[in-house]
Amino acid sequence: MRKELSINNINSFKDQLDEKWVKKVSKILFNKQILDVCIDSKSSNTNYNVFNVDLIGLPVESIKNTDKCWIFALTDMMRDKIAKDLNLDNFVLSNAYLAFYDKLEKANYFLEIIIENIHLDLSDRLIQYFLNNTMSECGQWKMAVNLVKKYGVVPESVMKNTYHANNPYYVNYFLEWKLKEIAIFLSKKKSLDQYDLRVLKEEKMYEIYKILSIFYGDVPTIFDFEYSIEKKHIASEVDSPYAYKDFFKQYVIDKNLSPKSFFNKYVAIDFDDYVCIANYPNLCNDYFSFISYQHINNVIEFEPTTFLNLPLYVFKYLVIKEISCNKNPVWFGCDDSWFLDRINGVWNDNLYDLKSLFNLNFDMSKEDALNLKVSSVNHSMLLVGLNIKNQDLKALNEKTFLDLDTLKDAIKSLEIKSWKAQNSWGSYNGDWGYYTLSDSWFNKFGYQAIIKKSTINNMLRKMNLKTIDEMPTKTLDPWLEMGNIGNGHNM
Amino acid sequence: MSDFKKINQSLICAYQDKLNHDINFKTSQNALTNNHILDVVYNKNQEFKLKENFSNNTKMESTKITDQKNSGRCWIFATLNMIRDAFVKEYNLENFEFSQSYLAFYDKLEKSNWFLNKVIDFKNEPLDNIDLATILTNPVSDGGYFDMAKNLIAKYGIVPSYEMIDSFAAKNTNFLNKILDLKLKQAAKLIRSEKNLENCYVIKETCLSEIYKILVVTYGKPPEKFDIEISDKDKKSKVTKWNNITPQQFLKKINFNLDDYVTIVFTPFKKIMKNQIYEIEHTDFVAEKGNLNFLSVDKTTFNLMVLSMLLNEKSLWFACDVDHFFSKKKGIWDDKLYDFENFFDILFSDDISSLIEYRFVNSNHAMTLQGFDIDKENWKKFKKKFFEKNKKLNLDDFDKIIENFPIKKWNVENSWGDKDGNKGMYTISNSWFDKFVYEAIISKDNLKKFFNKPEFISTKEYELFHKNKKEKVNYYLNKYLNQGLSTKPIKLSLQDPFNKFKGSK
Repeated sequence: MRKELSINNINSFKDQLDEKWVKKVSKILFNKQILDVCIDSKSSNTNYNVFNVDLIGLPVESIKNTDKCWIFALTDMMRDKIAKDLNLDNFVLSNAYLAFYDKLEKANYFLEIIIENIHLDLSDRLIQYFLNNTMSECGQWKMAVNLVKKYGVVPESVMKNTYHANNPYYVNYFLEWKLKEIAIFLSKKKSLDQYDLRVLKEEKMYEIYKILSIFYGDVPTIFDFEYSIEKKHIASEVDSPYAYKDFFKQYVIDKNLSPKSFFNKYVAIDFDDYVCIANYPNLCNDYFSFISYQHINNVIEFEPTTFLNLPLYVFKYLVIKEISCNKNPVWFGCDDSWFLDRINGVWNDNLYDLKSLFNLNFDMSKEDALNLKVSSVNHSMLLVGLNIKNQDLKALNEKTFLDLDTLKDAIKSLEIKSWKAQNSWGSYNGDWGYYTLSDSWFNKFGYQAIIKKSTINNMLRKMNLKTIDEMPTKTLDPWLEMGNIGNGHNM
Repeated sequence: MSDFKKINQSLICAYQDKLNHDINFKTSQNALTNNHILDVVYNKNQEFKLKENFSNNTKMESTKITDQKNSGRCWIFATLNMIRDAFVKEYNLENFEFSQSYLAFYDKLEKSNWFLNKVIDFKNEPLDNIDLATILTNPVSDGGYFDMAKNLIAKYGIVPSYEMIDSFAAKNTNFLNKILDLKLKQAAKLIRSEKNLENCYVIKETCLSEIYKILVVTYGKPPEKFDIEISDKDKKSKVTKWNNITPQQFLKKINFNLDDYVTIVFTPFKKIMKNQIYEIEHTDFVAEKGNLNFLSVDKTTFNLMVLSMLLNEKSLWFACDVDHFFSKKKGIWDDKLYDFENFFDILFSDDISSLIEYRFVNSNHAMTLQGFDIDKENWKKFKKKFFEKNKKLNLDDFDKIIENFPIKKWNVENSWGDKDGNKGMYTISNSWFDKFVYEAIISKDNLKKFFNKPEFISTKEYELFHKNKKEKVNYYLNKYLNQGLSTKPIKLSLQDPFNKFKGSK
């Protein structure tokens, strides 16, 4: 058999069929989704959503029809801190505020690429990359941080979601249309120098700003922060003749805040203390070094997205450490498209028995899966807990690892049942919107995590390895990125 | 970093200040707080303008609207609708439906074979080779072209819908595609590390046999022989029966010569030449048929060819970009349906050629054209004036007839079920048609018939075009079709902006 598929070939395929099997399986699959009919009854009896390390989180939010999970996971991290500091039962930050500036910055970035490369042929791979990704919903941890650093954050009550903040299809449609129109306009003025082109850009960007303002509403610049605290949390001397003591709430107002002063006062997380670690085994020659993807960015004056690439066991060790010792929720990037039980909110590759249905195993290495585009990073959540054997955890946290091999063995022998994730797909599915990941799924489809620099450096120093600041950086083209977060298929 | 590159606070303040002085801005912003933009810019007048009946309608009331559900099989549906129309007319049936999933089954199998062929061809190329990277991205996705459907039908024949009903996976291809993708890439991995070329083909065959198995249980087993009984809708006793026939034999019973059909393309994209054949690289999805190609023509020729089909009561496959100026509920595509520019107080470019080049506009959906509506009064007036003034006409004056044929709108059969639009039928305004319809299928044979007797002018009027009939027909066939068909194909790469006109919606 060479290139063509002949009728003889097909007949031989047909002859290899086990008729009895075909009859049975095709009946099973006729009206049912594949994953629904191959749930392994053994695995489904395991209780996965009980956790011994559990950072109790806030009620979950919903990204609605946006693909902004990468922003939500960051605002979840920040609102968690605010709620804890202020003793609030719940608190929500405005995601629309950040989405507004994300789009404004992406628009500027696109036009800058066009201006800087105005003499390049349109068929150039860089230009083609940007023409295919002109106004996407996607992003990365670093991009979400860029927005907060530059523009601060605001409570949701100050900038509520408009209809199109929840349904951004047409926002992106008009922005893309306008941006491409401006790009076409600029390319006709090729002969101008870069300065003059930028004057034109600034003039034209007004229309982008206007479209955004029409869709999202006005962006707050100065606001008052109001909230109320339940009585049980405040000093007992507060006295009110109008309310029963038990129901009393104390009202607080903080006037004339800017989004940045709000951030500095109530969030005050120094994002420079964090590093986005990744497990990209297809770049295993570059473990313990930084991979920087050119132009995977939104705010042009900041550095592009960079990952510290690590072997899985180091990656995993740091995540466990961050959650269980430092009690920090961990921003986590993964591939949500494989093995999801949406209703129960579980990602578990062992739950499904594709082997007996199709003679198919997901036995592909992570390296091959990335290289051959079987899997890519497309979703982010917050990891907030795990189910790990208590003595394992104790041993892990008490022991100092002096070299990588010992660490590797220790991680290998760990018994982790599952991980707990705070998702942003509303509270209807899973455990009120909290999802469970099996450990084997984590190994296969977990790619990125945000860890405190100090946690990483402490580990590295004890092993006498280069610390973060001494590590080399390798720069790669944007189209080699392992996927865009927000590019998932499940929302 | 020059300060000029970034967005600084003073720039934002300047923009905001300008907005605050814009008196119309606030109204637009408020309107969208709780509403969908298409609901607040909708032009009801335009809907009324497009409401009347069609002067030419090939759609038969009794044939049922089909539904592709959550799959990208529009190109198969549109092809089979066209063949159905021919079949139903020939045997005077009430309705008939061919199995779309029968073709989708073999489409997946052939695409799998195609993918593995490409992996073998590219086995020594790095994975970031731009063509290979494109091939590796969703190799067995649902989308396709008319010529793919044509090749599949020619090879595998055709079966009635009840012989192979849509299974769950046929209607919802998402996870099935992932499974096939995984299986194929497991083989791709082996191929890339295999030194011996012959062994690569062995790996391919083993993988395809597994793919076949998965397809059989997800789509159901394709029928090999079946019985058919059809009856005339007026004379119920007139029954036609075929017993124990194969899909290929059934195809022969249908008077539809696939080889007679050519894909024509009109694109405003200036880099595509007219009267020229193009070949798209790496589209040999059915290996023995080679790459797909199309004939690029000018707008007059495109309209003429489309009309030659509809005027002879033949429905036809066509493809367009459905993402612009669309009301799904009303079933209307019309570029004046929404008043965006007034709403935003911003102009939007309609330089379609550049917008194609910059990848904002591209054909993405195939449907069936079922008729059109003309302004009869204007047509009469034009003809009267035209033929009075020009007692003797040059052959090339025929262009003027086409250019002045006052089409108002087009009648379209879609495959999105009968809930939206006018019970599944949709309307395209003529100005939208000019901007966003890029591809159609025409019959060469029919074109010849048309030039013997163009249906929209009388025999007498046609005689005014100088030269005798035989010479005239030859001249026109040559001018509009054969000259272009005889050109040497120009290759288009997989990355060409015009290349991605795969229908998939």
